[in-house]
Amino acid sequence: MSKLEMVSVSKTFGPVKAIEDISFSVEEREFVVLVGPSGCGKSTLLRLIAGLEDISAGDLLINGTRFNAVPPAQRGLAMVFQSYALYPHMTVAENMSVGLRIARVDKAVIASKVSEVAAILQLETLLDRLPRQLSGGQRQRVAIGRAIIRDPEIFLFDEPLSNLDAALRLQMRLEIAKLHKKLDATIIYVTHDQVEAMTLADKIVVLNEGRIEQIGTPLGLYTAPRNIFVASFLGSPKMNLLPGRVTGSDSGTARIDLDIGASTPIDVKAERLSDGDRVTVGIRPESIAVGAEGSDAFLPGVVSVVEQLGGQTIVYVDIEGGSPITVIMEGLADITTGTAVKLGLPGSALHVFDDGGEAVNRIG
Amino acid sequence: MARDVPSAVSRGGHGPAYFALLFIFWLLTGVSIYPLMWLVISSFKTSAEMFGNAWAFPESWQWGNYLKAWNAGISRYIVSSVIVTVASVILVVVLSAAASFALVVLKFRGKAIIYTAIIGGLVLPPEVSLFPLFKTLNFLGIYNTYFALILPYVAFGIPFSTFLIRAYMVKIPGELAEAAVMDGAGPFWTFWHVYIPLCRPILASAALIQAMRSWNEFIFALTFVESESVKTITIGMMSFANALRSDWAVLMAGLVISVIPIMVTFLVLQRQFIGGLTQGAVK
Repeated sequence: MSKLEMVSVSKTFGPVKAIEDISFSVEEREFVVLVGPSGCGKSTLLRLIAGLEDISAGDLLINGTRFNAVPPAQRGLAMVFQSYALYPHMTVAENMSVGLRIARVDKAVIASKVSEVAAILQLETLLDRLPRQLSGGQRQRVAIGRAIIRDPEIFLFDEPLSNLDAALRLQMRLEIAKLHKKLDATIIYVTHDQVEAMTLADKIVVLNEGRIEQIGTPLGLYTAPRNIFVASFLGSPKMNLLPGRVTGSDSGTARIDLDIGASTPIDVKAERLSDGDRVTVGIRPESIAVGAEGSDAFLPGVVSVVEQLGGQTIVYVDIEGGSPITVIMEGLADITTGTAVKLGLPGSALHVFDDGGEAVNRIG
Repeated sequence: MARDVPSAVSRGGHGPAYFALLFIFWLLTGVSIYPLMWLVISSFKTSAEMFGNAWAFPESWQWGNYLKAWNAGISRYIVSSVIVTVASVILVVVLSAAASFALVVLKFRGKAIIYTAIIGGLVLPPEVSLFPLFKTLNFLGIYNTYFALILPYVAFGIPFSTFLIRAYMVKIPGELAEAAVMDGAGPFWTFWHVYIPLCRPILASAALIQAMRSWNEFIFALTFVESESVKTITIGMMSFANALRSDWAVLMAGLVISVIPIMVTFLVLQRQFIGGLTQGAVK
C-alpha cells in the first residue's frame, strides 16, 4: 500500500522560491492536511505531488520509489480541484467516467463503476445532468466521484470547499470525513481554513512562506504550537499575544512582567531565558477567566464588544496600554459592553515565545 | 450564446434619444440593404427595363435570367469557389485551433516568440507577397491549381483566426486541462474532447470570417490561376461580364447566385457567430 514521502523538496519559479527544503511523510490511510495562509506554497506542494509541476530539487517517494519524473496519470493519484474542473459539455456520468474511458476500460465495467460510485455519493438521479444543472455541493460530489472511480492510491484535494457557502461547507466537510472512513483512503488535503484542518486531519502540516512551520496532530499543534505563527494561525478566534519581559528566572521558573501591567510566574525551561529578555506570552481565548479570583495574573479591562453566538459568547476587552483581548465564555454570558472586568490568566495555560517567536518549552 | 437585451435598456428609453437612435438604425439598415435589394430586383428585369426604370419593380418577373446565368457557366465558378473556400476554412480552423491550444495549454519554450510571429502575419498586406508567392507556387508546380489559392488563403487566414481562438481559449480554466492530465489524457484527447467542444462558438466565428474572406478574395484569385476550370466566382464574374456584354440583368442574376452560398452560410452560423464574438463580454 501507499506511503508517500517528500524529501528535501524545493520548487523555484525563476528567481522565486515557492517551496524550500520541505520534508514530510504521509502514511497509508492517513488524512494529512496542508494548511497555511494564501501564498504559503501549499497548493504548489500539492501540484508537485500530483506531477502538474516539476520538482526543482529533492525527491518524491511513493512506497520508496522515486516518482519525480513519473507522468501524473501514472502516479496512482486522483485530484479534486478547487473549481471542481468538471467538463461543462459532459454529463455527470461522462465526467465521472473520463479516466476510465481514456484507459479504454470495458463499457460494461465503466457503467457498473459509475453506478457504484454514484450510489456512494448519492448522485444516482443526476447522472444525465450537465454540471451547470447542478448545485455547488452536487458539483463537488461529482468531482469527488471522478476521483473515486479510478481507485487511486492517494487522493489529493485542493481547497475543495472554498467555493461553497458556509452551510454547505460544513455539510461537505462531514461528507469528506465520512468518505475517508468509508473508503479507507489516503488523503492529502490543502486548505487555508484552519477549522477544516483541525476537524478533518489526522496530521496537519502548517506551511508559511514555502517552509514547514510545524507538523503534528490537530490537538498537538493547538496545545503545543512550536512558534507564534502556528499559535496564532490555528484557533478561532486567534490566540491572544501579549508582549512582556523576563524579570526573574530561577530553577525552571521564570517571572514575566507583561507590558500591560500584570506579572506572572511561569514554569518554563529557563535556561533559554535570561533576565531582561523580551518574550511574547500567548493565551487562548477560552483559557481566560473573566473575574476569576485566584488566577496567576490579572488584567483589568473594559468590555468593548460582545458577540452572542448561542453556544458561546465572544467578548472583546480593551486593556489600557495594549491591544484588545479576546475571551470566549461558555453559553450565553450575562455581560454587556462597558462593563469593567478583571481577566484572569492561569499560568498553566500560558504559552511563552522568545524574541525570535519560538516557543520556550514548558516543564512537565 | 445570444443574450436577451436587459429589460431596462429595451423598455427604458422612449424619449427623443430613443427615436433618434431608432431612426439612425433604420437608416443604417436601409443603406446596407438597399444595394442588395436593388441587385435582387434588377436580376428579375430585362436589361432595357433595368436602365429605363431603375427604381421600379419588374413589370414581369424574368426568372429565366437565373437559368441563363447558370447555363452561361457560373456553376463552374461556384464549384471552384466552394472547393477553395471549404478547404481553406477547414484548414484554417483546424490549424488555428491546434496552434491556439498549443499556445494556451502546452508548456514549451519560445511560446511568446511563436505567438508574435503568427500574429505578425496580421500586418502583412497580401499585395506585397504577390510576386514571391507567384514564384513559390510556380516552383512548387501548383500554379493554376486549387492549391495555388488554398495555400495562400490558409497562410493569410491563420494569424487572425489564431488571434481570435487563442483569446477565447485563454478564458477556459486551465484546471480542465490539468484534470484531463490527471485522468491520463494526452494533449490530443484534451484538445479534441475538451477544448474543441468548448470552443464551438468561436470556431464557428473563425470559420465564417474565413469563408467570407476566401469567397470574396480577388487579388490572389486573379494572379495565381488562369484556367476557367479553376477560376473562382470573383474572377469568374469578370469573365462573365465580358461574355455577356450587354445582358446586364443576367449578370445581376449571376451576382445574386454568387452571393447566395455565403449568405446561407452566414444565416446558418449566425447564432454561433454572434455568440462567439460576444462571449465573455458579459459574465
